[in-house]
Amino acid sequence: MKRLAPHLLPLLLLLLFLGASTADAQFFYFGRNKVQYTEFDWRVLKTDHFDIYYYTEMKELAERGAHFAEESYALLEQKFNHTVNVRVPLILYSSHIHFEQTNTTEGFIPEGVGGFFEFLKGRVVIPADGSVAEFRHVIRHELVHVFMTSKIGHVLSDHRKVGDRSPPLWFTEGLAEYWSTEWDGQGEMVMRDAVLNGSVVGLDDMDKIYGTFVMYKEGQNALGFLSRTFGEEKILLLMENFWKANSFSDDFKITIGKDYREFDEMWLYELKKQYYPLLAGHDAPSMAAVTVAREGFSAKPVVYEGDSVRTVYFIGNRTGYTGIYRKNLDEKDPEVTGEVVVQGEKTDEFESFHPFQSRIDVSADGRLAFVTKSGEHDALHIYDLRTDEVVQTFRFKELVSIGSTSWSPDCKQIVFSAINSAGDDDLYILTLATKELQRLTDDYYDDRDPAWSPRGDVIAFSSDRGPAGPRGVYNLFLYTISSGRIDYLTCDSASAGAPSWSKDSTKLAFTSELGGVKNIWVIDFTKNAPGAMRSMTRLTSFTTPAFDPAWTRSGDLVFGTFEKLSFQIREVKNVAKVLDTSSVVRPIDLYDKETPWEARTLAGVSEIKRLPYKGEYSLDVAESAISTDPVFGTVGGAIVALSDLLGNDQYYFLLYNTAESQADLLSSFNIAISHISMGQRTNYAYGIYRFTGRRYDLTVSDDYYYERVYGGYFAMSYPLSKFERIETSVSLSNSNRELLGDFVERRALLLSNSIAFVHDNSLWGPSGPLDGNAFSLTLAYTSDIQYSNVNYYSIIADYRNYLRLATRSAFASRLWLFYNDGKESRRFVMGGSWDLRGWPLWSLRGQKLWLTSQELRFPFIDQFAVRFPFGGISFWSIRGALFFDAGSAWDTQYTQTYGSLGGGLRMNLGGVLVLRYDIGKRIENNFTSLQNGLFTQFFFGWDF
Amino acid sequence: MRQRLIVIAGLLFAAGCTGLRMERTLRARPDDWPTFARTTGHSATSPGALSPPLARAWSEDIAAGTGNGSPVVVDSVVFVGNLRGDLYAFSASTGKQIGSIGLGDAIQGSPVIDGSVAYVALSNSRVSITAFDLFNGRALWRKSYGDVEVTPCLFRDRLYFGNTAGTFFCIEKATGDVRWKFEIPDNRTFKGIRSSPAADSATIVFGADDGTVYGLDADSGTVSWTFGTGAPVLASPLIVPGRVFVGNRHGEFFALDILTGRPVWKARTAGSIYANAVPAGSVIIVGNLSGEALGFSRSDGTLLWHTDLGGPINAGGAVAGRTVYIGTMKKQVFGLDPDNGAILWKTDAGGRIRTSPAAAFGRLFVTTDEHDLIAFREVK
Repeated sequence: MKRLAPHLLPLLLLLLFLGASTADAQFFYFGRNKVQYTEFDWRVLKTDHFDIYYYTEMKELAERGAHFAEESYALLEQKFNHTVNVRVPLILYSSHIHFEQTNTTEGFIPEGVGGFFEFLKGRVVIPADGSVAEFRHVIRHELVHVFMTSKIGHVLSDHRKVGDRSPPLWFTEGLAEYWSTEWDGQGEMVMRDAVLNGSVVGLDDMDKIYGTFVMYKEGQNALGFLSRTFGEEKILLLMENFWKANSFSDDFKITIGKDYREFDEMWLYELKKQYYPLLAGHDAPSMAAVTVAREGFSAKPVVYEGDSVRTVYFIGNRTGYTGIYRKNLDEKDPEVTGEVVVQGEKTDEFESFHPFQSRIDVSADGRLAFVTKSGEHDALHIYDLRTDEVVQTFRFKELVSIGSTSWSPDCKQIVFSAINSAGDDDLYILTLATKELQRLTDDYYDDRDPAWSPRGDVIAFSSDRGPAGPRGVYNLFLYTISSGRIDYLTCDSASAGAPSWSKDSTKLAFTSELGGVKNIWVIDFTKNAPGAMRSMTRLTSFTTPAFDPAWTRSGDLVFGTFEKLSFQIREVKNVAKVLDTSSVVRPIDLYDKETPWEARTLAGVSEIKRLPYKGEYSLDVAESAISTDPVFGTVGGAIVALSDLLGNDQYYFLLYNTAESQADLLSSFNIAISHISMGQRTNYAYGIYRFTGRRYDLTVSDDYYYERVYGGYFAMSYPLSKFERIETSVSLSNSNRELLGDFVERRALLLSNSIAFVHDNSLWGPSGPLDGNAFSLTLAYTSDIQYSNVNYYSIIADYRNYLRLATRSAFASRLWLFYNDGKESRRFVMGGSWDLRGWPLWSLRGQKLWLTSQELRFPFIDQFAVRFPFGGISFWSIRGALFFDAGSAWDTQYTQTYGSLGGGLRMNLGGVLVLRYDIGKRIENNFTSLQNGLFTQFFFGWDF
Repeated sequence: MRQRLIVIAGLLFAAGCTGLRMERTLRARPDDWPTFARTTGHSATSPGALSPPLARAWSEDIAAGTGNGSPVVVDSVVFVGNLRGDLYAFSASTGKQIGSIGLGDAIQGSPVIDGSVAYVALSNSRVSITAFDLFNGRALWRKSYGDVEVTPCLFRDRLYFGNTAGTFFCIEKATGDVRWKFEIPDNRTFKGIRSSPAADSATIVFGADDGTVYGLDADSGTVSWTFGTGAPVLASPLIVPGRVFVGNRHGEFFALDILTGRPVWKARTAGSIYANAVPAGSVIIVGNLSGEALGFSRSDGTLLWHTDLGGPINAGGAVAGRTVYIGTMKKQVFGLDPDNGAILWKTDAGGRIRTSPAAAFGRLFVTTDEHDLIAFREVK
């Protein structure tokens, strides 16, 4: 076992801490930033069973959350026949954008994550999204996880079984859905698509869809079937029998008398019986509509018709970066992908799109209104289609998240929905010239998808303010601009949304979940006699859903669809003619409409206390270990890590002893204490340390020495955006070094300063980046301010570029320039699978170093499966690479250039480790000859 | 050196399994609580009084959780089986452990003590019933009848019990030989039996996962009657003269005629009923998972009172004098006035309670999921 030089240890600790503020970094100095834009004023609401953490702006939302949590607790207590005997910390955010800033988990939170239960501290972390019903659903979903974790732990503990296992993910997530919500349009969408397109998998094959939304819904469906067929108590019994079985399939056998395979036969047959008859009266979207955009992800279309060319604009993703695309609507070839208009997810301005939430809209004069996340809040952008540039961007301090947009007919105003800091999703009108913002609705109802009528007098929108709103049912409403009056447009038991006016204002297309999944329906206002009951006519009758209809001038409709796990854009031409032949007409009965419902807040909660949040610290890690090394002897130590409940402040305590004799005991203690603060935009860390012991300097051959070093450091990291940051650090340490053997002593009081700029917008594939670029420049200066024994400076530059050649292929380039100069300046190392391939690991050393790597990355084997009699194993995403490296390392005189070329394979194991195998030839003798024979290298690590 | 290691290893192994052998024969006492809910009819009523307030007399570690039975007490010795398959014996008065023995994988119900023999049902083991001689410390016989998660009913020298596969057995207590067995009909999807049987003069009564309450002739195993409740019956029935009382998973509570199985009255409650009912004079008391303790008129099912105990009630109570004692999953033990449901006493037991208490020899015995057996005594 070799140890790094001790004055590297604080540096490593420091870098580790800075790394904690970033995510998905290949090496410690890259990675995007999780920026804490907002300073939250946290409070705690204590109820009977929960400590609810919220910030002041969302007090009412937190009280609703408290009610839902206690309501769910009472229900789940019975479902699980179990109580959770600890108070549950429930951390609430009023919007997803705020939620994305949480420090309760490392890494980025994708837009699709609606909340999570974190096992270590038992925390439940949940954002609101404007919908009271969804808020309630997510709270209950996560509390199912809390109860299940406690229940399973209890069952294993009761039987004195080791608590090292848990039910499979399909069961935990399936049950969380099954016991938290009704079977809804999303579940129906997923199951219809899976069954009718032959992609449904049984419990025995759930690993094929592991972790996907499809797995959640299949799990929910399977448990519904189990409950109907064998009794709901069998779900509880599966948990209570968990201790008996070695596998969950065995648990099934014990509990219901059927293992996975036998259960699958019944369940999958039932699914076929349920869904196959649909084909008699419905069609797949691809069979009944014209395909407009098929590749990748495509959604939220709008049509602009200028200069006699019909162009469809939509939110798409072809490469991994979401952006706005356009395509000629009359292009016959669906394989033509269209071109990128606005490239998202690479810059601060268009940090991310909301492809499932925000419709885009185009004005009559050719301006596109769309929304992206941009820093702390969402921003509304105006893009001029004639000049192909963003002409205006609006950010609203009070509005956190912005939904769909719709232009006024005079092109002077935009109506949109937005969520404020309190978590309310309401409608607003922006006047572009004056930047004046007018709030149209102000309540806790979820108002979405406004559509300004071309006549200009009303705005149609979707809202849960109808009588079935508490169950998550949305209806359509009309907002009259002159009076502010809101009227029902539909009042149904199935959700309606995404209204869209025809250009002459006579028809309104929208989606309705009548029949199970969203299809497009149309209200024709010309066909309703005054005073008569309106009706709606079904336009599409697809097996899987249609979304977000948008009219063309000639009366066609363009819309999104879902089929074969893919979101595509399709078109129905001549809507009027299709409507005339539709046999499904439904009267719109508004007579039963009721007054809007009231959201309950703290009803049923007997214990209520409101307190300011004060850091509540608990252990994250507490480990001690003793290790014995043939060279260094026995080493004993412990590490303790503490953090507060919100994860904003972390403390690390490291203690170990390297004494080789009793007399050395006191002098051989190694201690480091560090504090990291991440609750604000500028992350900082500081600490003190003392390290002592025999060391081996990796950069100097065969040098062992003894060193005592103590000191302190301070480091800061300021994210300029998600993609760029500045890092700086200063450390002061007293170093006393003795070279073993010749007893040379070197004393130094080292002052080190560094500053770095880091940029990274790279997009990662299974084995490494495939697109974007990354850059890091570090300047550092280290000097001995007391004895002048050490005095050197460092310049470290690292640039990487990834040129996308195809969806899964890229050409990657890397350039390193590392430069150290001065007294006792450190040597860099190079060689091996991570940098200069073909050369022995870290065999090239010098105070100066350069390296360039060029690599072609391409897919090689998508799946490699082996089926044994007792089960199967699959390897996914085996990638190929062709590479060329060149570089050198030297101290004072450049000697020669080294290189290599060859090819290799990379295989990702579980998303956490990449195995690498390279074969090739070294370029030797100062780049004049190739190696005799071939080198091979097998190692681990991500591609650069 | 090697021998020493073997000895140490042997001692370490033996430390978790001390053996169980009574130093005296056990004699039947009027105060005994020899089986789940004390009697074959599950009356759960102690002949002695135990008036609240109570105080903790002693508490002992039983190494694992307990299932749906209760502690049993014979001749001042408390027996409790745990979910690790261990049978423990303690002095009822002092809590001193007399011994313990591992019998299998898990004891879900109660041991049944008959003289110096303990009949123990085991779950998930190759052996499902063990007849264990407490005086000699060895098994008299051990036989397999499937997975048994109930307390057998010892009635006229025979043991009656069902297994989780839906077979109900009558066996000879002396040999374990099957006298007769009854299969829940094959056309039922849900066949498990998790309800401990009760017996009156001629009829064995139990509930099943198929939602049916079965009344079988004790001698022949023929079906005397059945009653479909509409939801799984996981609770054990209570038999008082002429009546069977039992609840189902949908929270419905039934009084049935013991001779015909016909419902006499029915009541709906707010939570699933897993607990057996207990009688206190003219009141029948039952708890449910919504945390309600309810008192019904024995004769006509009138709800006389209901008391919210704040946490799921998974197991039936124990009646001693004018108090019914009930534990909840919220760790609390309550003493209620059976006439009006008033809370006379409550205490925190330190762990969830999913097992019925037993009242005997001036003590109330409670087990918790913190692996404790606790004895409470009257505060004089």
